[in-house]
Formats: sequence, structure tokens, C-alpha cells
Amino acid sequence: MNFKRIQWIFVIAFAIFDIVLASYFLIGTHFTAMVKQQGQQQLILKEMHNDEISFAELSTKQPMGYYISANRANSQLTNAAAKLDDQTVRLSNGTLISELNTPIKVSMLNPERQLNDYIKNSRHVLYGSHYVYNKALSSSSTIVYTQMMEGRSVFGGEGQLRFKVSRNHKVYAYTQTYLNNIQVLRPRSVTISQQEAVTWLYKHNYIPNNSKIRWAKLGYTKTLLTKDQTVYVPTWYVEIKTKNSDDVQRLRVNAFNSTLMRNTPEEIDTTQLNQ
Amino acid sequence: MAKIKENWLSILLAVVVILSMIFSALLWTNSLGYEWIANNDSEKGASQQTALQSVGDIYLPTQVILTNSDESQKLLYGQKKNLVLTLRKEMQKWQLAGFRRVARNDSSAYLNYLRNDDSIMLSYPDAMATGIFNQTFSKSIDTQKMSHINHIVIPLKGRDVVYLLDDDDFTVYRLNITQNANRSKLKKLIQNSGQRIDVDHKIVDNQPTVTYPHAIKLPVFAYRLSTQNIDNLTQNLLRSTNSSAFTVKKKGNDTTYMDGASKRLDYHRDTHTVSFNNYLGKDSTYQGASLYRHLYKRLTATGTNLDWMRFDSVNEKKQTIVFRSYVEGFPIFNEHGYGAVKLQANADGVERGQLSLFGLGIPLPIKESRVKLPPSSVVYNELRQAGKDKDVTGLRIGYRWDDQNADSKVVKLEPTYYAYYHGKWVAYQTLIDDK
Repeated sequence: MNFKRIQWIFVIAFAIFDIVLASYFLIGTHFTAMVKQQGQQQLILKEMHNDEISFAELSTKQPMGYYISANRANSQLTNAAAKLDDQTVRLSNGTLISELNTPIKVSMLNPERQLNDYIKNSRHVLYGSHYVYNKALSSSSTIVYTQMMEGRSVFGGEGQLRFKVSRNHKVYAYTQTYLNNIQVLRPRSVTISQQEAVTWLYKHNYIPNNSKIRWAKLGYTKTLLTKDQTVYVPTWYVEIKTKNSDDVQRLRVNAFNSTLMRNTPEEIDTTQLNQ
Repeated sequence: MAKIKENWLSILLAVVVILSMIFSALLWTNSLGYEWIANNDSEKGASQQTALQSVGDIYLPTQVILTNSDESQKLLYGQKKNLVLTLRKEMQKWQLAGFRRVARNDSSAYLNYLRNDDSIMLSYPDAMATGIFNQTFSKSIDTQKMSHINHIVIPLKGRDVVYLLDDDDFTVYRLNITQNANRSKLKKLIQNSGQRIDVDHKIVDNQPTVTYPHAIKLPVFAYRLSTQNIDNLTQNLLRSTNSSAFTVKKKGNDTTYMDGASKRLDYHRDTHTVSFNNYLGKDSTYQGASLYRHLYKRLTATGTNLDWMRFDSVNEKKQTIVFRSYVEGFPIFNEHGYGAVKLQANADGVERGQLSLFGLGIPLPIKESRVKLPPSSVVYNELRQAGKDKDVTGLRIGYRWDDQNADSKVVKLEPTYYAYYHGKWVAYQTLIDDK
């Protein structure tokens, strides 16, 4: 082997070494970390497909949300019920139960079309403009409208309008719950994305194999109760259906800190704070 | 010339060898690259949740000050839209060009930029490494020319420019916003509702300081206490590659956890605080942004609730960063350090940390009440009368987290002035009472 050849080998070896070192600087840590995280998400989505879990495309956008409080019990509906026309109304535990004197005929496919107009009239439904039709929660026999908080639905029994639909596509009655004194507690902050919420559920074994994620929506759920107020937190509400059976489960992930929401919110004594 | 032609291969070899030496040296001195990546995997604990608070969320400016056309200044808080996050989003869209120094070592010129009429200013509580600023705002400011940033001043009239200010040597750099300046959007954003209080920037003892010229009223806040289990915390902090169980020693109110001879954690049961030492055996220092990144990683590894946590102060010489809970842009203080984490990177072969089991959880609705605070000048005078002014090197408004009763699940936060006294932030009333 002549000297020139040895020199060549060294030049090539050092050149490769230089390129490797230089790439560390050029790519940098930020890039590496981002690629890593993105790659991990993609891997999990692939794993889910392998486990026969089907879902529509999941958004990676991280929306903003708030901590919000509202009054627990309120006499708002009781006080205003007298304003309603053409219906028989009674109140039970804060829920307004109404039977309509003139039933509303609704279309089979888009029942909300007729009801959207109906609820706007304050003689028909109290605070109707605070509610929006929720297709995901509705069924052929019940049409559900949810109250809106900062542009998003409230999930749970409070803050709902439920219209019962008979077989002949007529609405004879509805129930209403209403949240008042809605207050934003702190400036908004970033929540996890739809994709992060679903992959979190999968990673923590909440999604069975061979199932379908029907929808995943961001809304507000109760997280804590004080003596007279409720604190709401942004929540990803996910419906999962097992393919072989009719099992349907709905799970809620806290969108601020990625934890599964408890079924019953914690009760906190705040008397010492208000002294 | 002929000689060069003859020996070109030897010259090329010399060049690549020298180049590799330079790169190696850079890599050794700048631990940012290799070490951080290598550590990445070992720090993912099972108890950790999805880290929603990224580097750019923890290292955010905390204060937004609006300067009007008459140079009067207002501190903006209680803005539903979250001005800092919204401004970050807008600034990420900017295209910047023409990085140029416009002031240096001139405190009066510097003050003029701090009080630039018709502008919004975002301020960090302490010097931010430019590399982290770049990461937060998707920018590429030359970190060699400008190593740290304290304030970002965005004029709302005149040319589309932004000023970056470094308190350390009163340096100001100007950049042109060539695309997406979106001024009308910014103006609309700050006009929206929210609270504002009168402030006034001054340079006190060579240190730019926010002062409050009038008495003000600030709201009281409350939170659900968030408590970390000591077992989880020890797992998070002492976790090592081998699964050897650690030894536990109890003595009075203190419990010491040891993992071999290198990791030690002391838990003080009476105050619910923890201090830990990790003997690394090698001494290396982190420069600039790499210190901030390294300690952010260590912070997330503690498993502490980071929802309200922000960067509060840095000491690069001591390789230390304090992370602190903030409410509406104001820092929160507690005598035991609840809601704060102090971390020291490998300075003399030891990594150290101080934290507690307590943090802030869900905000709670409480009956609206406000606390009245005197103007800063009154507080300075009272400190002078108490003979404490010479040892006080800083004054800021913060929220006091009263001593936590372990049985209580709630935390009440009340505003007051805090003075930097003998290396610690102390409620000014405590200093005055302690004559």
C-alpha cells in the first residue's frame, strides 16, 4: 500500500467523521425532540390500526380552554317559567319539565331544523339561544341540545335541552337544565389535541381491540364542586364502540393535564377561603 | 503554487483533521448536543403524564406592559384571552430581518426603550437565554451577538420593528418585521377588556425595575392544593438504571433515602419539603440555552404539577434556575418554598434540587375581594425607616401563599410587596416588623 493510498483512506475517514459531528450541530436538539415526539405519535396510531381500532383522521391542533365556574343550584328557571306559552310546565330538582300543547313535527333526518327555530323564541324555551344542537349525543328518540360555555358544549346532565321524539316524528315534551353565573376563572391556556387525547386513552388501555372511535369532542365537564358552585374544565369526550357487539362506552380525558375524569367530581370545602 | 499542487492531498488531510478537532472541541464544551439527547430516554418515567408544558410554555414572559402615547404605563392582567399566549402566537408568524444594535451601556437610552411610547412590552422575570427565546417564538436571533433577553418591546406605531432588550449591559437590538406584523390585530387585542394598573419603569441601582406610583387594589385568588406523594417523588428523583432498592433512614422528622452512594434525598416531614443531591462525579458546566434546557428536563422529571409553573430566576454562575408558580403574571411566594422548584445543574460534580410536595391545582371560585397595596415609594420609605433599605436589592409585587395546613385542601393567595433581602424574597411587612 503506498503512502498516497493511506492518505486517501484517512481523508475519507475524517471527512465522514466531520459530517457526523456537523450534523449534530445543524439538526440541533429542538429538531430532534420534535421529530421524536411526532414519530412516537405516528407509531402509536399505527399500533392502533394493527389492533383493529378504526377512527377518522384526528386533529393535532391544540385548542385553547378555560377553567370556568357556574352556580350549582339556581332558581333561574323557576322564576322565569311563567313566561312560557303553549305548554304545561313543572319543576323538579332544578329541571324544567314541559309538555307541549301543540306538538312540533320534526323531519326524520334533520330534526334540528325545526327545533332550532323553535328554541329561539323565548316564549317557547327559556334562554334557548344559549343552547346548540348536539348530534353526537342525540338519538332517534331524543334530540339533545347542550348549553354553550365559551363557545363549547357542556357535557353532563346540567345545561341540556332534551326533546323526546315519538315514532310519528313529533315532539310532545322536553326537559331543560340551565347553568347560570358562568365565570371564567383564569386566562385561557392550551389544551391537548384530539390526537393526543385518543392516543393517551390507547396507551393507558382504555380502548379495546377491534373497536371504533365514533367521535372525540372537546367540551366542558364538571371537575370539582364547592358548596354552591361547580368548576368546569376542558375535556375530550370520546365515544368508543366495540365492533362485534353493541357495547358503547364514553370516556372523558381532562384536556389540561391528560388524566381520566372521575365520574363523580370531588367536593371541596371552601368556607375558610371566604372568611 | 507548484508545491501546493504537489501536496494537495496532504493539505486536504490536514484540513479535515483540524475540522474534526474543532467540532470535537465544540461538542465537548457545549454539552447541549450529545448529552441531552442521550439522557432523553432515561428520563421518561411511568408516573409522568403527557408533558403539556413544553420548554416554550415554562420559559415564557410573565408581564405585559402597555405604554401609552403620553408615556404612561399600564400593567395588563386578568385578560381572559391570555395576552402572553396570544402574543406568542402572533409573534411566531413574524418574519424578521436586519438585526442591528441601537444602544449599549447607556442606561438613559435603555430607559427610553423601556418606556417607548405607544408600545407593548413583554418581560421575563429574569434574563432569558436567546436560544430559548428563539425556540419559544420560532425565531433565529444570533445567540453570539445577543446572549440574553429581558424584554421584548413592540411599537404600535411608526415602522414595523421589534426591540429586544438585555438588562445586563443595557443593550438594545432592533429588528424589522418584514411580514405578518399584524399591528391592527395587536391593538385590538390590548383594547379588549381586562384589568390594568398604573406602573412606571425606573432604573434603581443599575437595575430596571417596575414601580407602582399609586396605591392599587389586587384580587385574592384561591386554588385546590395539588399534593405529590413522597413515594412517587422519591421514585422520580432517585430512579436509576439498575433497579436496586434504596435505603431509608428515619431520624426525627427527617427521612433520608439513598440510592447507592451517589443519590441522596432528604424529606422533611414537618414542612413537606424535599432536598436532593445527585453526585455525578464529573464536573461540566452548561452554557446559555443548554442550562435552561437541561434544567427544564430535570424539572419535568420531578413529576411536579407544572400547570402554573414559570421560569422565575437564573444564576448561570451557580448553574441554578428557580421555577415558581405564577398567578396572572405575579409570582407566588411561600416561606417553605411551596409551589416553587429550585434546581442546580452539575456545577461541582453535584446536581441539587429543592422542592416540596405541594403545588397549585384547580383554581377555585371565591367571593370577590381585593387587597389594597400602597405605592412602591411608600414601601421603600418604610423599609428605609426600618433600616432595611441598604440590604434590599429588589422589590416586586407577589402573592403570599400562607402557611399550608396539611389538612387543608385549599390555598388562598393574597398580594403584597416582596423585597429581595439577603438572597431571598421576603414579604416587606415581615422585614418592617422585624426591626
